Amino acid sequence: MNLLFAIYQILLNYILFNTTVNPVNDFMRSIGKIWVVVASLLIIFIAIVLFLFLVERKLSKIEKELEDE
Amino acid sequence: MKLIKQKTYKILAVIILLYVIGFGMLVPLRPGIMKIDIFRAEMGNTVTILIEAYNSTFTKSEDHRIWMRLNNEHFLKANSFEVVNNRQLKATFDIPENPPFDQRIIPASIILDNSFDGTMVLPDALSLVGDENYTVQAEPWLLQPISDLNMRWAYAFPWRNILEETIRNTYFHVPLWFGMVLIFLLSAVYSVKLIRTDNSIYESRIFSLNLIGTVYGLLGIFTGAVWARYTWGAYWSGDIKQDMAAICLLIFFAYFLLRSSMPESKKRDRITAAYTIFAFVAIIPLLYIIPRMQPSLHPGSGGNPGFGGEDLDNTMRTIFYPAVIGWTIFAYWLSDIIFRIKEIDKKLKDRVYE
Amino acid sequence: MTFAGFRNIVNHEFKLEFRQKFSFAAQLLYVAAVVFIIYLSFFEPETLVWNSLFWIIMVFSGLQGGATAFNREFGNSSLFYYQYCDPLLIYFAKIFSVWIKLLILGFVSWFIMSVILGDPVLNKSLFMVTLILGSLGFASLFSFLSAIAIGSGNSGLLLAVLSFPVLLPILLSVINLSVSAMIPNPGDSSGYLMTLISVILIVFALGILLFPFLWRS
Repeated sequence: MNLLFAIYQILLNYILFNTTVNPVNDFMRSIGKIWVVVASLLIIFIAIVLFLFLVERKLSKIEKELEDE
Repeated sequence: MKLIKQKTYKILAVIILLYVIGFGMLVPLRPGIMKIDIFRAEMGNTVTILIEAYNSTFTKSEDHRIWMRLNNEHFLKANSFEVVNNRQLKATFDIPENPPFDQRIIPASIILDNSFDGTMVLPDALSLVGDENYTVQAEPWLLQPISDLNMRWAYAFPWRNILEETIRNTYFHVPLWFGMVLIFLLSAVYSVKLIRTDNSIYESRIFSLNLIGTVYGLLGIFTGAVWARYTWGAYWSGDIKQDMAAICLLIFFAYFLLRSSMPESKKRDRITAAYTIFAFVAIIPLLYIIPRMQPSLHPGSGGNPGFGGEDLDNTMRTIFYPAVIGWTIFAYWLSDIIFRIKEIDKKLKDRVYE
Repeated sequence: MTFAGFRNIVNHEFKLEFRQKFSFAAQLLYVAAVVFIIYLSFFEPETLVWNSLFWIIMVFSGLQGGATAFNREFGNSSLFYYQYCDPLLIYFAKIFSVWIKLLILGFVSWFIMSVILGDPVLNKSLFMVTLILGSLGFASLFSFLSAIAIGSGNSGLLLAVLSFPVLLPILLSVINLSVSAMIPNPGDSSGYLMTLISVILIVFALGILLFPFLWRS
């Protein structure tokens, strides 16, 4: 409930005054902005996982072709 | 690449990347001043400033010395201080009535030095505002430079004010660009080989290397955008280097367009190889020459200090260079997988046609 | 590679070009029409708008000229003729003829624009140098890339896509150079001149290295 209220307040602030609630203390900027680094690593990790998915799809296709022969 | 045995380079990549991620994330930052509670002080008053620092241990030492620095010659030492806790310290300054040189509003930096944490600086921390009818008087300001600072050596990354912990992104964003350029270089080398020998096995190599290079470029753009959001203020700030990087990716998107627009043939292999060489030569001025000529937020361009100056000290070098090597070898590994799949696919298709 | 051979090919090129008179006339008409449209919508455009519109006209004329540069040669019609020529000779003749065409178009559109929209150029010689170098850049880039793009079906579209990224540095420096020819007290613009010349040299060098291989296929 608290969370909902917070989101509501943020949205209201944004719509009414076109400002964000104290952007200096948001989550990404906490602990010396370490979460930005984490986000970067996460982006790279997601890319590797996507790569694996695509490679696997291609491999399944080749496997199927081999079976069809 | 024949020199490197099949598995050794992969193990090498994994070890290097483990070292890079482990040390890159775990090595602490040097202590630094995050902020102070005021940003303006009237001259002639006694002010107490609450200094908030990051990663500091103020209670471990007694010999704190705090200065206000106006320029290379004029300083003001705090006459008393009070340690609140490890991260917070209160310093009291008696600011003289008159400025030491002819300027009414003077930006001042805060310098803090103690034997446990070493020296910390907060540039342009506050502005001192003089009286309207001030007179220039150098007397109470220190004229001799600050001496015997505690240069405590530690295996730690430098503190940068807006960057803070994101200085670690140097190992996860910058090497992607270096890796991309190296991968494209390798691909250009294979293109030259293809043009010389007309061997279509190189075509798969070029394709896979270009694919991984483009993926690295995209990753560089995305990680850079997130980094820029929390340091420069926006995902895309119209920085010249950002724009040039985007154009550089467009050049390689055009490669895939070109490749898919032609039926598979020797002619296509040769044309795409020629285009790859062209693209590689085209991205060098885009990434390394044009951004240097214009003002940019990136280091090493416009009026900014070059990359490798203040932004990359010796501690960071011990991780940054392995990071470049590690991410590049990793990219080669990824491209090798695509290359082998392409080759199997090709052989299978040939067999079906027979 | 002789000068006589070079002259022969260029002669041949222009003869072919002016045999179909309509293509060159169409480009001139295109320039006139665009300038008239600008006149109707802006009346008296500002200096910067004038400048960018001028270079946009130049780019599209160059794309038109470049896209048709190798249409004939990669067909079978003049295969015999070109079998006896050095590919580099053909390449240079091609660049030269496209360059001359672009220059004519550039000066004509400058003339038309200054008659209809007013002439903001203060430093005429700098603008002329920019025009000459810029057209050389466009000509070499479009000729080289159209040799690459011709292999695919839709070469006109592909040429636009391929050339856009490399066109950008050329366009950037050309526009900045011509701006400094238009404002009263320009700063130092030698950096842009150097960029322009180096990009042209790079494209030239690549063309010399790669064109023979493209030609063989």
